[in-house]
Amino acid sequence: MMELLKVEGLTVRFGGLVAVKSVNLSIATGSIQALIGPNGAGKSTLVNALTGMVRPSGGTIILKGQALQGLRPHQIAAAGICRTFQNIRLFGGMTVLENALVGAHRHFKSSLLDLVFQSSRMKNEEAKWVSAAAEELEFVGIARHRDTLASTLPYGHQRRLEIARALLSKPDLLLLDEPMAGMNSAEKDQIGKIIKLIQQRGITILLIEHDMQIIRELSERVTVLHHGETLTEGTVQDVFNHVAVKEAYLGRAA
Amino acid sequence: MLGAIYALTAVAYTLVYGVVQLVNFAFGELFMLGAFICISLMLPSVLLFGVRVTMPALPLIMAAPLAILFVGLIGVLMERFAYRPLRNAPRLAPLIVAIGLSVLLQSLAQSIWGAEELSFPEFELSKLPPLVLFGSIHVNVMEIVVLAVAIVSMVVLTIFVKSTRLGRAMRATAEDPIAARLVGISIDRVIAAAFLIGSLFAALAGILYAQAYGFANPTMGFLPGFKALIAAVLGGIGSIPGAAIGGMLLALIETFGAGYLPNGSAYRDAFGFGILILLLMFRPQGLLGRRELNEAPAGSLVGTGSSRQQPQWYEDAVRLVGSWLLRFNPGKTVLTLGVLSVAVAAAFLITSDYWLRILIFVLTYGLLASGLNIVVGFTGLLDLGFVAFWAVGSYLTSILFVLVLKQKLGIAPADIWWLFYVNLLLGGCLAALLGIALGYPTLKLRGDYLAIMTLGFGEIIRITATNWIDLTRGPMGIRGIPSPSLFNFSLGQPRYLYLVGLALAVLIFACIGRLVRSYVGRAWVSIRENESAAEAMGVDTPRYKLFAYASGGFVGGVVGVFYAHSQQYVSPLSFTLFENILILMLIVMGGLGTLIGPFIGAAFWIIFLQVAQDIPFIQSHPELRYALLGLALVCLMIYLPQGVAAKARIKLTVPR
Repeated sequence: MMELLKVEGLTVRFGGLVAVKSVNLSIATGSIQALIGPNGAGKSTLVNALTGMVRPSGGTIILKGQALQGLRPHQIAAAGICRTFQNIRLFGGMTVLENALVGAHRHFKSSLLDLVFQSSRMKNEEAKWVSAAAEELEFVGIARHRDTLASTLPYGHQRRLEIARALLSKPDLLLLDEPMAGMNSAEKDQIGKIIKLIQQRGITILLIEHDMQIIRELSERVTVLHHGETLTEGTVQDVFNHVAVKEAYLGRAA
Repeated sequence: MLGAIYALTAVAYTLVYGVVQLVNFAFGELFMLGAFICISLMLPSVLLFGVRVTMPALPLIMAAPLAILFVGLIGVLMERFAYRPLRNAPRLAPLIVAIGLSVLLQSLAQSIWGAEELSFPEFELSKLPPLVLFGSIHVNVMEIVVLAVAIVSMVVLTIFVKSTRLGRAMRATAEDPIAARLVGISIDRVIAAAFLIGSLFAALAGILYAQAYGFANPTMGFLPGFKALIAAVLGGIGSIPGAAIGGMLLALIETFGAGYLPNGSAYRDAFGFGILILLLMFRPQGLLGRRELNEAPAGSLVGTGSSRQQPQWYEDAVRLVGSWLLRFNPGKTVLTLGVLSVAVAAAFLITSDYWLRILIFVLTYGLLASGLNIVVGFTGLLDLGFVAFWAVGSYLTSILFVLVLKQKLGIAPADIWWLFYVNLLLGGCLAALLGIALGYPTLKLRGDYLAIMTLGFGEIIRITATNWIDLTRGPMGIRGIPSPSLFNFSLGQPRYLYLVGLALAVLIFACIGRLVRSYVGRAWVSIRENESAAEAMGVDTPRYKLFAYASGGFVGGVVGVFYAHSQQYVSPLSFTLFENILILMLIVMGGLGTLIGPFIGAAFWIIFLQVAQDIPFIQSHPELRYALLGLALVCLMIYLPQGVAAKARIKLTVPR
């Protein structure tokens, strides 16, 4: 097993509150790793810490041998981690295509002079990424909406756009923070298929999800977070049979 | 005593901010109105609109409460008709409305009472001899009265907020407006009450200020109002004891600074702004405040339109103008060439110098607005100090040409005609550097605080330009700046100046257009739309913000150089906050975040000024034009927040 991401002793404190307590996490290249836990377990905080949106108070985050803790979000995106947001954060006043292109921002290399003089280098680069963006929109199934404003998209499409935008950053590791929240089961199936296809393209995925059925279908390994700590970590079957997990979710049996 | 006045006004800001998280810039004007109304009531007769009107000549003790109540009423009306429709709009909209109201009230006061000051009538208490304390300290009776009034009203307010029903409702609303509504508090009433009390305090402070200095004039509210805001921020906005402490502290710092620092009294007003900037950099929550107030909700600048249903004719009109503009969308080559040839032809077809000069003004203001539009419209950072860049460009070229070359070195401007073109670039670069230097400390700030801080920068630059007499000649300004020329051919005639301006406009317009239609423009707009998501997608947000400031500054600097040479005269009077607001209004009118919006706005405004000159009533009261400007800004924000050119929303990809 090749290890893509290794997190050791990651801790996040907000004042006196410890939201994430000394968490270890290891994600194998090419896998879909699930992250579950009851509400308030620290899942989103962990994702925020991994992407630099929250500064960790301690611990290390290593992606392909590069230490990421303490870097700014855009540096982490450049290192190869991109994410979607649980509470959708699109650029509402931009079109679907433009949203997707912001995801590709880090790949643009034209200089200011290229832009001002509309050099062929700049034109080729723009054309290349516009077609790449069109492909990703096709991939998530919203290609025909490319010129609508993101704020006017239906909810399900907004979630898909979030995925397309993150994909355009060409990440090694994609963090999906509850990508199916608020969807019905048919929509969930479609997103599930998309996630499988992303994996087949060689992109490693960390998936936060509450629906156990979906986790069973998609992921190989599961990490359970509870009160900010790793409760257990293992294969789907192991984890689902784990007593402490049941207790964390359902309460202690009388 | 000044401290007490600052503190009272600071309470107004703090109270309203605490409840609705809005900096109501117009409190400075309510302060001024309080003074004017009170004085008017105390006089036997006053000139209103140039007409002598008989007044009751009340004693202070009756005039003051009446004036305060009247101003309170204005405050409530202001909230009801200007702010309430925007309660759920993005942050920028009410802020722009606040600025518009401020301009409206100030210009209205100027039209009503005239531009001269009104002196405060004498009354019994002011005639009493000073008291002597401890044998050596002389204190005016009125100073004691002011302090006493301030302390009593603060104590009453504190008790009110602590222990009455409405006071509790206010605190609840400040904590969580939605929850407050759910437990049955009428938010509308609470907010109206906050505005009422705030206005009462502002008016009271204005009256005390006017009697202390013995006069009232239409612009008297600006500086004390702004300093009170600083005091409120200093004490921690939202906290009433904080406002009191902040006011006292600011007055102390100013007095000691003016007394002990070299040349301190000339820069007295700059201290407040300096403190503000340091404060916002290191402790934006103030001395007693809470941190969260620096957060502004992300989202589109001014919303995607009024949520309320508009009358049909209105919708139709908007759609008609929109589709018309859409058809004339720039970026289509044929059309661009067409517009360009019309613009060039205009130079030769228009024979009147007067109209050519007007066109030069449209170009100058259109360009300035385009520069500011990069910062405000595309990147979503409300910058109230933009005129500083304009000033830097103007002063750079003026100082070089007139003070250094002509007077020190004795070189005739005609021999170094090419320096003008070098200066265009130099002025631009210097202003861009200034943009980065001023932008850097603001990187962490959002929304209101950003606006306040940039305003502080703009004022500091203006105060410096006024007082650094060796460098800038102060308020006299610099005369005799040569007009541009090419080899030996003078471009001083309006026709050639217009063509030079047009060439600049085309160049700058094209550059901005190309930057915006690229990954740079997309990065800017993504910051405006959702900063944290932009960062997560790999946009280095501090860098692109600084780049926006630098680009906007560059444009401002270039226009400044052109402006100095076309006017042949610069003075600090050209670079006031008012100009900045005017430029901002041009963008809002034309459409924030569109390319042609600024030029449409500039054209509208200049045409409006011309038309207004022919209306007799406005002719005799020219300030009314600015009152209309303020009113237009307010109405635009409420009814057409996206501007006239909204449909010309620019594509952020390269056209193919």
